[in-house]
Amino acid sequence: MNKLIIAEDLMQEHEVKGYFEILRESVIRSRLTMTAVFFKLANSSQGTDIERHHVNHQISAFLKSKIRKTDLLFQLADGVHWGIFFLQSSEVEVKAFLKRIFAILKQEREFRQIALKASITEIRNNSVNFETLLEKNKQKLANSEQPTWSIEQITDYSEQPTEQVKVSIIEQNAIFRKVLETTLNHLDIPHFTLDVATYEDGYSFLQSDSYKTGHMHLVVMNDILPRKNGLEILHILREMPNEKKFIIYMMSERNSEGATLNAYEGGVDEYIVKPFNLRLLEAKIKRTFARFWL
Amino acid sequence: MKVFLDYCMWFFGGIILFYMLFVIVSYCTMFVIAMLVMRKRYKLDPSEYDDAHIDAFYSKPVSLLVPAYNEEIGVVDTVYSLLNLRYPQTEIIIINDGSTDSTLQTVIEHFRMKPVDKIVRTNIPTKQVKQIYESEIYKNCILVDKENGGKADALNVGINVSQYPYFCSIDGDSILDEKSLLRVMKPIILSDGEVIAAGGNIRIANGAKMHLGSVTETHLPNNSLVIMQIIEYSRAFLMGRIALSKFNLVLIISGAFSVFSKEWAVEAGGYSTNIIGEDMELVVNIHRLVRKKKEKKRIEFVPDPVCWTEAPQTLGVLRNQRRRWHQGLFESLWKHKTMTLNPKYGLIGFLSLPYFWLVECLGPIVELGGYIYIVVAFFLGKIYYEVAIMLLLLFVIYGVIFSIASILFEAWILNTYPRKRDLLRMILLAFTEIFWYRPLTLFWRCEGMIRFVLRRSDWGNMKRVGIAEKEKSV
Amino acid sequence: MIKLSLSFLLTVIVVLLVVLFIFTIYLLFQRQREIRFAEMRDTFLQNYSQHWYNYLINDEIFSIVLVPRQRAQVAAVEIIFSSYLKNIMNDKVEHKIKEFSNLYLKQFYEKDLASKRWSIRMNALYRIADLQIEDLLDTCQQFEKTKISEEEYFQLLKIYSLFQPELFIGKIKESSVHYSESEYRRLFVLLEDDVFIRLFEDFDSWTKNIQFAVIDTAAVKRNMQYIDKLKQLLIHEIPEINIRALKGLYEIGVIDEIDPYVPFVTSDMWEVRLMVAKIFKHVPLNYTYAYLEQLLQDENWWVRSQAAKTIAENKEGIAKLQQFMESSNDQYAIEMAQETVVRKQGNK
Repeated sequence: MNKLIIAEDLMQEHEVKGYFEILRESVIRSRLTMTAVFFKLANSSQGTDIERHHVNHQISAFLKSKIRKTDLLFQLADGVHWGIFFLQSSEVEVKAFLKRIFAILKQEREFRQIALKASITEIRNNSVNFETLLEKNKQKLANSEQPTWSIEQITDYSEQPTEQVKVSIIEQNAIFRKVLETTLNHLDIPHFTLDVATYEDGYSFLQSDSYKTGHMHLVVMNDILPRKNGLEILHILREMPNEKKFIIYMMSERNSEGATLNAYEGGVDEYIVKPFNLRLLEAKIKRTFARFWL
Repeated sequence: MKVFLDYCMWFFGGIILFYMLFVIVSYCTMFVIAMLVMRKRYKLDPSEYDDAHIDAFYSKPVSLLVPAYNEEIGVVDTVYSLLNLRYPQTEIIIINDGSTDSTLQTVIEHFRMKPVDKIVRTNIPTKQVKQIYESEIYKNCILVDKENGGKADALNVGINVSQYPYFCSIDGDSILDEKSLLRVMKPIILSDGEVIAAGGNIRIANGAKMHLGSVTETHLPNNSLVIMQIIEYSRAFLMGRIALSKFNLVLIISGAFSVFSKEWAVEAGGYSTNIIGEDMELVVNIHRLVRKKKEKKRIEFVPDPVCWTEAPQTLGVLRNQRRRWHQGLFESLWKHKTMTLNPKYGLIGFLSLPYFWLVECLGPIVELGGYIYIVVAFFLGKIYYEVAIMLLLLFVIYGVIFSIASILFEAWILNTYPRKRDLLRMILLAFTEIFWYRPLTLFWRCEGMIRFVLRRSDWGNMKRVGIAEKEKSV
Repeated sequence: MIKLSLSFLLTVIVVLLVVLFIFTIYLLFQRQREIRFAEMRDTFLQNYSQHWYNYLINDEIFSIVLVPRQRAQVAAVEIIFSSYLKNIMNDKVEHKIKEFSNLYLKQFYEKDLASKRWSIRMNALYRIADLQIEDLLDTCQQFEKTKISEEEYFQLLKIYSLFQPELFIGKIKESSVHYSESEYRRLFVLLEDDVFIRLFEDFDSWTKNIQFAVIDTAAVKRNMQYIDKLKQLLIHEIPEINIRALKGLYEIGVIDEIDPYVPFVTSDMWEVRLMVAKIFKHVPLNYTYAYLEQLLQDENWWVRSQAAKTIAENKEGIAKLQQFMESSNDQYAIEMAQETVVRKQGNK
């Protein structure tokens, strides 16, 4: 007879369910990967009730002592599974975490009765619900051939959604404008599609209203522009309530420390002095976008 | 009586004829010099210099001073055009000269001005500064709020606040081309500071399409009065400025857009507050200083069109403007009368000042006399016809031919109005100049002179007029 | 006599009017040509800009359509090249532009150099330098032998500095023409380091403008090997050179010892003292405070102001200034310290 052993100070499956949806949605919105880990006792059927009870408590307490404040630890309803949601963490980080705690568990004498196995699910999209997640992980862990202390992976949800990014190029020189446009149109950034538009001066950009939508928006502009110059556009964009969605690259032919400093203080993400290397610009943009997802 | 009248007519006719010939010859000389100077630059690609000098390494930082008195409409556009200047290092100093309209508020709101504490060094004594603001958007943009003291006083405050070795004065209602500063600074940079002041070529903005500080298209305006002024500007530019500049004889560089070395301007005492033509006054004072210190310094005029300014559209405003200009000119010349023909001042004393006295200042009297002579001769009958006709022909050369020549020459070199129709219209209008525009301006200028003579006694309490009256020396 | 001059005047007027009339016709004709020229140039730009992009950036194969066949198309290619060179830094692109110019644009500029018009010749010289048309070096040297203006000679020097540094140094040595500092800077800034450093050899033989330009260019190049050269100039007998060297060292911003600078604290020239006050920005305050306090009580406003600023930039600077205000009795210095402290705190 398997009496369920519930640790009172631990979150329970049904309590976490509601949180999961919020966490999952915030993954999309904030572009911060979340990783779920499920543990199962590899030797759950052995030992007496009391022993099992003890082991259970030990695991709960141990896990609780190891997680960060941003991680959410809970126990599943069946009593032999534990789950942790690691917010803002990728699979790599979580794997390192698992390796670390497994090493401790294997080494310390007081934990010698404990044998665990784990499965990792990296979550980057919102096509997963709580039940399926549990189901899939339980299935993985149910496989009796899986050796103790091993780490399984579920990769079904690690694909991030493709996001549309608006790109505005504001540059007075028609030929260079075209060069930038072609270059950025050909830029291949995984999981982002770039929607490139060009403007010859600041005023026509502000007239276009394209910057008012909620999309992420990359602005590549010159500091000196006819009719509303770059610094003013910078100021207008950074004053908007959702200014965080703008990634602003400012190009300038003014090679003076003061001008650079002003631009960064005003809120540009990159200040590039002309002439610059196009490949460098591409790399910088790629890097900027790569940083968005863990 | 008849004999007396006869003598009078011959005498005056002779003087006027002689004078006209003299003026025509001197204009011709200047025109030829200007042509030689300008022809060299024809089709030269200026962008080469511009591009090379955009780097801070080659240029010198400049403080841009914008005095504003009741300029709530124009000042924002002016500041925009300054922000768009292609120049590596500038600071913009807007000086609110105790405006009674919302100039201060407009600037504060538009450029997010925040009050700051700033140490100001008083190089030139001025009226009280109330508060200094700094823009949150543009770190190099400063607003100074001060008590009303006139344009010259406002500029002096600007000089005190400025931190760079050169300053540039800009009227609160003019628009600059993005390369203006680069080009006006060019003689200064290339001469390693031998040129201590430089003025740009002022153009008339009426008819140009402008938006947020950028000139998008230039068309000839429809107003004949304005077209006449355009012709007048280009004539003054070709027959005067360029030639005078070549020999370091410039006495007027327009206050609407000119750069000065701060060191020299401060030593010359800054702008004088008790005179109408403060820009001319400063130039003359600097010339004096240069001669006194026996240094090899120059003041230059830059032929590139750089600064756009609104010209008066109605006779009334134009009359006011011209009257004041002339009064100012007379006043300045009178103040420095001891320099005239004074060997201490070299060519300035022997060429420049006499030129300004004879041609620019007293010219209107003689010319107006010529017009009156023609009318009188017509009533007196045949014997004076010949002199009258000769005078008339000289007026034709002086007015029509010179004007057309300037229009064509300017169109050839600078091509300000690229449309063919505009060019033809200007030429046609130039033919009418001697019949209406010329006599009118002559009359107004004489008025200015009379005002100068009458007002001489009440110098001290002469009322200051705001900058808003839009006066610019041609 | 009057009769004679009357008809004379009339003739003059008529002649002038005729001349002006002919000039007008010429001008209108000229304008028409300019419009046609601009149209052709713009068509070329419209049609081939993308081809140029593909060739320069995407490494597509060269196509003969890119070759300009007449002046308007040369103008278009010039616009394209200058847009690329001004905005993009890429060795491959530069190389391709150079190669192309040497092959297909050379003959146009060669012809321009023989033009009677000064401005046309100048434009050609600009392009030869910008587009690196090395093949015309010999032509340029021939051109030098003709009667040329100072401006043209300057452009030639620039061309030599790009293609033949040896020749350049030689020409500068023997040149009788003197240029301004900023012009010399333009010549020196593009020099390779090994050529540039040779300008420090027999430094005293150069004219003042060259000396100043060398110092300023060294500062802007920010190369460590120039620091020693500049430091050597600190003991030069001409004060202006000391000031420049100080300024250069300040701009490089690497101060490894303060001993060479200490004597300048008591210099007779306020400009020198000002520069020292500035240089001490780059040195920890505990090494320099004693000197800065001395400068804070300087007779010159600028020096006082700079000393106060330099002190205030340090973390403990404000405290030191406050301490100074309590102990000192130099009213001017106290005022300056006071203002600096207020300003520094106001900006926080």
